[in-house]
Amino acid sequence: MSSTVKNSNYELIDVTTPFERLVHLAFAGSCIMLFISGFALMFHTLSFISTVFGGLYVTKYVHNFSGLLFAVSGLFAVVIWFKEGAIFDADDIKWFMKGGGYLWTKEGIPPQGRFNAGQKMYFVLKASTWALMSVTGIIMWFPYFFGKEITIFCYPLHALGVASLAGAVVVHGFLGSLGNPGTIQAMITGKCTRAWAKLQHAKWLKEYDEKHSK
Amino acid sequence: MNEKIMLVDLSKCTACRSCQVACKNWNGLPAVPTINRGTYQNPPDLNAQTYTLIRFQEIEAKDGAIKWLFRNDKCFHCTDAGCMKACPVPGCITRTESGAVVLDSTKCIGCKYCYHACPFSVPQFDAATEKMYKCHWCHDRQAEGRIPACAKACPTGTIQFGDKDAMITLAGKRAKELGGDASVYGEKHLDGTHVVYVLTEKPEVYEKLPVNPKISPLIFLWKDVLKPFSMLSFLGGLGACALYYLIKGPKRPKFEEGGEKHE
Repeated sequence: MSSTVKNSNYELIDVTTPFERLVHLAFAGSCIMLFISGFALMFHTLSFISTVFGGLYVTKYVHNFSGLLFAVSGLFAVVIWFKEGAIFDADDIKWFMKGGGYLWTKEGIPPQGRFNAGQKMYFVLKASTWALMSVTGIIMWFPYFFGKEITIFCYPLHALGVASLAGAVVVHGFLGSLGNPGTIQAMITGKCTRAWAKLQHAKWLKEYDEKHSK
Repeated sequence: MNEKIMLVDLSKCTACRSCQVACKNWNGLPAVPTINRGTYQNPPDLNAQTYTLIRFQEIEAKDGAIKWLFRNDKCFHCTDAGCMKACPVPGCITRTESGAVVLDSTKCIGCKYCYHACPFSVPQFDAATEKMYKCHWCHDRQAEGRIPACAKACPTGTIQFGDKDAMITLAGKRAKELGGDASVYGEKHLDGTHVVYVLTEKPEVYEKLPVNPKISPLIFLWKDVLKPFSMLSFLGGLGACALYYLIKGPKRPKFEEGGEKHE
């Protein structure tokens, strides 16, 4: 296997920048910590999870400070990926009409950019819940500063964020790892194979080749 | 132990504050330094060191004279208790047989959910310990067959403590006796509070006393609708991924076709 031969299917291509991977690591890591600590705080039956943190009192602080990292890294995530993540084109509509090739058909999937339409949808969900969870979370952390009337609205809103995010986060993690082999490397080493790019992000690969051919 | 009721007949209260002192005494609570704010009500509100408080209020009577209203304020020990619904710590807020809602401050994590879920804003936060505190109806005294300290100390018979039915009957009788705007407050709220007032004025006249106390529908939306939905969302996502993996399997790139040049 000659993994670095140019234009072979095994060629390794840089698909993400180190800064993107750092932001993703912080955003994803804090999000997972928030889910673990948050579920321990939300469900009495899951409060045993708090044992690993040293009890529910510490779990609350784990949740609070993971939330800070979530808020900061989320800001970077929204800024650096907004252009690629929040703007949909005609190919994205076609992608949705075909269920992304995941469900009832594998044929006729339009070539996708560096983010496919599903990832863009996830970005939009993530960006909006980032704002929702950060704002309601900080109010719930310092309720006396904001007052009872405002704080009491944040409780259901915070839970609404969890309800809309929990399933999506699981699906995102699955599609980025087990569901699409070759994807997780993009967020760890930053490299993908040409074969993977051809299958998953052909439109982006075309742009990449145009940029890198002399 | 039978279910108990604490009847607080406000028509008899002289604002001597024996209850306030007895509560501090029994619970070993320190006095809180305050400043003169031009009222006898002291401290200004319930706090982490003050589980019960006499509220002083001046109102204008029908004949134009100034009338003083005194209200012994503390936890109502609701049957449908918002604090218990909101508390994230198992075993932190519990109920005794007699009906007391007891907050075990040693288990408290200081999230303040209980304060926000309480229609009366009773539980109080102590910044020094980062924990919530409130009246526990002297459940420790009750366990020994004694009545709560405030009821024991009350010299006028304002605070009476006894079996539920007897106290409810007594409250109704007393309100009827007083006539006018007098009414019984609490027995019909929140599935029956365990502290029941005989008010001499209409409920809306009293400061910081909700006319129709209810747990906010936002708390129900949070705990009874969106909380189960978040678990459903998580498990649904997990189930969908597992099914997809079993039925469709991973989407693998094709390496076999060799190194054709991409356009």
